[in-house]
Amino acid sequence: MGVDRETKVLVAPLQQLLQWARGRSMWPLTFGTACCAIEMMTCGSARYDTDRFGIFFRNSPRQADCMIVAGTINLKMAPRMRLLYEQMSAPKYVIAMGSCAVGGGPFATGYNVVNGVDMIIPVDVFIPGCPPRPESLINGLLTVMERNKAGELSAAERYAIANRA
Amino acid sequence: MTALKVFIGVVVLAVIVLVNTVVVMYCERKWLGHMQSRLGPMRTGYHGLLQPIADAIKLLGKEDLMPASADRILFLIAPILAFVPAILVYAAMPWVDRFAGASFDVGIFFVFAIAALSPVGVLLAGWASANKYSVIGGFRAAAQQISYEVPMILSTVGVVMLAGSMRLSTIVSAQSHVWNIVTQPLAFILFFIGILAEVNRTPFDIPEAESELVAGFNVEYSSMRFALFFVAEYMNVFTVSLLATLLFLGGWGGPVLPDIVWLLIKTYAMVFTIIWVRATFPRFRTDQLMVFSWKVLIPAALVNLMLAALGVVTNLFVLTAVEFAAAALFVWLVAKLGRTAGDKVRAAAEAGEVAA
Amino acid sequence: MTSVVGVHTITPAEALEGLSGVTDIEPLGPGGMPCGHTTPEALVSAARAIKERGFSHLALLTAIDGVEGSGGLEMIYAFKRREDSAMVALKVRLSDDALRVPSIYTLWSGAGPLEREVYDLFGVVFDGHPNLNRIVLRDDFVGHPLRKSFEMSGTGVSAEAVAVAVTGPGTASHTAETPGAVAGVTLPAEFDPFEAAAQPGDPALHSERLILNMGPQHPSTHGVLHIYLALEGETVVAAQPTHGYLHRCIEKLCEKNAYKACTPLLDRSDYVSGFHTELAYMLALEELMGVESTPKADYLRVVFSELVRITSHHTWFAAVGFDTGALTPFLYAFIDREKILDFFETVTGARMMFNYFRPGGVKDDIQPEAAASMIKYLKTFDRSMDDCVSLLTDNEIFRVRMRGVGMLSRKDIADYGVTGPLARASGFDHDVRRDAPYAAYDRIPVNVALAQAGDTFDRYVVRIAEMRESARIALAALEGLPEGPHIAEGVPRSIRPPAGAAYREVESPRGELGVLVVSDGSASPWRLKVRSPAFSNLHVAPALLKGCRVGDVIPALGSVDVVMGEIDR
Repeated sequence: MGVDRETKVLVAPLQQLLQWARGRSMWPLTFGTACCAIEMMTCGSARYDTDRFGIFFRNSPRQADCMIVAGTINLKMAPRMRLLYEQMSAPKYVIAMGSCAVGGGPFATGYNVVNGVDMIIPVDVFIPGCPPRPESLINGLLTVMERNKAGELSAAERYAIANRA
Repeated sequence: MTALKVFIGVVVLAVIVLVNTVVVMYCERKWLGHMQSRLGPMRTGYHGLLQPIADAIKLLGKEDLMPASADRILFLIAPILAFVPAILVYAAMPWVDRFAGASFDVGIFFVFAIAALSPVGVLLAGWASANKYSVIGGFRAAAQQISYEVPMILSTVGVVMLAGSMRLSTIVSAQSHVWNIVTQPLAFILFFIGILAEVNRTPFDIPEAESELVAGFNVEYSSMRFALFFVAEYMNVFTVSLLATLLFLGGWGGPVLPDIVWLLIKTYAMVFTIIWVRATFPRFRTDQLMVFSWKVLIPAALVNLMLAALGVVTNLFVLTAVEFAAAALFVWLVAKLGRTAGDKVRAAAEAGEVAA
Repeated sequence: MTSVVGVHTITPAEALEGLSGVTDIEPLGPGGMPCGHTTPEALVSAARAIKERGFSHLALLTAIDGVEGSGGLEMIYAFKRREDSAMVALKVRLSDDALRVPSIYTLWSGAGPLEREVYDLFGVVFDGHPNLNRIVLRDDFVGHPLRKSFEMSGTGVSAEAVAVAVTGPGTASHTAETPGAVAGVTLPAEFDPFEAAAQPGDPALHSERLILNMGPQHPSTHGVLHIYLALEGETVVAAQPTHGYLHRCIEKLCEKNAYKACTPLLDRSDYVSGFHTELAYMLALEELMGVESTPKADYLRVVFSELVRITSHHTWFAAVGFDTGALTPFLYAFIDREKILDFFETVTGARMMFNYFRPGGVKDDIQPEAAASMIKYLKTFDRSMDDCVSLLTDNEIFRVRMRGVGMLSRKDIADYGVTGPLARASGFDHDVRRDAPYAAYDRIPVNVALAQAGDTFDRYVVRIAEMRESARIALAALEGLPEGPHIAEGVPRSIRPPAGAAYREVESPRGELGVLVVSDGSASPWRLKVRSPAFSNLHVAPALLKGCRVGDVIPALGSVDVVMGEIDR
């Protein structure tokens, strides 16, 4: 998977090209569970228009780059989310949108709610808010894209490195 | 020396085609955006000009996945089988008078024959992915493409009859006085509907019906293999636009401006129309799509064939007149069928409810 | 159907008289419906008699854990008569060692899922229920959370429990054997997709049937909806929705919060149109507290309810476009929606989760400039609707997709307790705003949109008409806004209503939304139950989808317009 991003002389310009491309083209997976999904939809609408940044929502996890977890994850949904995450092709990123995905939100003390998506999958960007404004979501997406352009590792890659046997 | 010339010719042609495909991809996102009151890509290069390049390079860098239960060889071949016919047809398509990959006597026949190979790639992709959704998507795509080839090809037989030849450059020169869209509007309508279905564009994009089957036949493809499907689709859009220009819009003919410019203007006008249709219309259900092809388009195409034969025997004015009348009748009929759909079921339900 | 005996001459109180086994008839709350107590043995006959006396709509079916620490619990059933919106209720007291009650599934098919929910959250076993499994929680969940004996740890679910949930076996909630299932009784074969798929397909074609699993993640923007379909070729032979993927413990959390702190949680149940749940809650609370809202607040409540109905229908309209493959209605609808959300933000401070209604009124008064600009917008609303609608209504492809598809009969509507635009599209003329007015609806006329054929296209037409009507109502309310305070005087800051119960309904974009508040005199509600219209509407899906093609499933489900947050709570 290319976890170690050591660049050799010949490969360096290609690596930079790849980073530039990843910083300018991000295809999130449509994964909205709850209220934040409505704000995510609004983000794609004409006033906020994520397409300006090269963000193009895809429906199949295999073709998506990042998963925006918009909404609460509960114990019933958790295995499905994990399955979807594992189906995504690398390099993949996760954006936890909304207080529920960040830490359980208003339902954190409930008996059925996972307190934060990072209990299940590695997360790159946390966006607090209930729901966060569309501008916040765009900020989160752009943060991921800028990190890409700078060549930083994704949370998935950092997790893989940290847990290499 | 000749081999080198051929090789260079092939490379030049491929580059031209790929550049145009990239332009079509850009046009789609920008024009779709503007029709939807938004801007489309703006950040990647000036006003998003480099967006398709960024998309393609990013796709190259993705992990290559294959489902464990997939049929390995078929899974690998399918995108190639979808892409190769898309680019191979350009061997027979002339762009200006003296530029053609190879000017076949049976030019248009060759084009349709090669294009008919693409459903095979789609079917293989659906089957090899070992996924219920993909299989359904693959079957639907193949059924759709095979069904719509018939009216599409039938509608071009009239054009061939009038031009007296299947060679594409002859067909274009036969339109030097008047374009086929004027003398055979019904054929153009049928051809346009046919090409929308052939390239799986709205309103015939059921195989990729995103809201129903999660991206259909290419749901399990990632990285470069998906990029092949993705690029092949836009290449097909350009191909059929170019074909429509050559067959119906007078090809490279036009005053003042050089030939190639006219060709590109007309082709991109067709591309614009195809994108416009995508922005406006919902999509058909599979069985409605089939009914439309077999019960509506094919009879209309046969009628068009008879009218074209009439035109060959008499003169162009008669042909134009009857074709316009037939086209108006066809449009009215289809609109009526569409508007009154489901009337019987609704009337029965209303009667049932009121009585209950 | 059943014969109705002199329905218009029986008052609600009389409806419960003379029924064997029904005793202690008393009002449910301060202004409440007559409520009779009965025993498990007499329940089914009493319910049948009530149904025959004209109360044909099962409005509420839930349980309340024993009040005042007396142990056991109380089942409560509420029935409604369409013609005059009169309601009666039945209560059944159950002790902790005998939590069994007969199922009324044979009288109302819609009672099936409601009883499953009570089994899931309270542990009550329903005798004769065909499919008594958990419905919102995982099959391997231990305990029944809405019992008071189920204590929530203050820190939520532990990491170990999450790990088990993620890596353990799957959560197919169709798998049967749970202790409550009655042996020998199975789900009707026509609705059990696994049963239907096991049967042979078309003999002439040697075909096999297929189980298709749609959801819970799929692009049709309807939230985490999960439906099993049994397919024969392209035709759906059986369908079964499952949900629970968004169960967020809202009702239990409300029992731990102060009354005012429950409002934000209720905002998040029906998150697309938060004002309606808030309003139903406030009405019930005001009934319990004996507080009346001010005239200005009544009008403001109407304004916000109607505007949020418009935004909810805008979201539905976008989904209709996506479902049928049209890309552009979403963008056009959301442009208009943004203008209304700007107004919400100016007045209430939030785009979606408002927390704006208070007992006795609303939190803040409306700024005159905001009202003026909204009046200006509403006057042009019809034109902007024409813009959006022109893409779909007259389009032949759209008509071919929607007409004659997903027919819903009136019998199924009564049987499953379907309400809202879904029912009105089949000719069921009932709207809580007009028939049992609340807030300022008795002072502002409401025209109800009605259609007769009951297919997907009619549901579309009814909702579009509702949007236009909502704009007219909101405009009338804004222009006729009375002077005065925006909240009643003397409402205490910390709310402790006297002990009792109250149930009030409003007309939400999805149907009749009711909130039951049971108070024990303390600062937190003893029980807070949301009667979710989308829950009952969703469970008519098996009847709705039978005979549809695969391509019709998503448009038909989209026309039901569900919000999973409200269904699962």
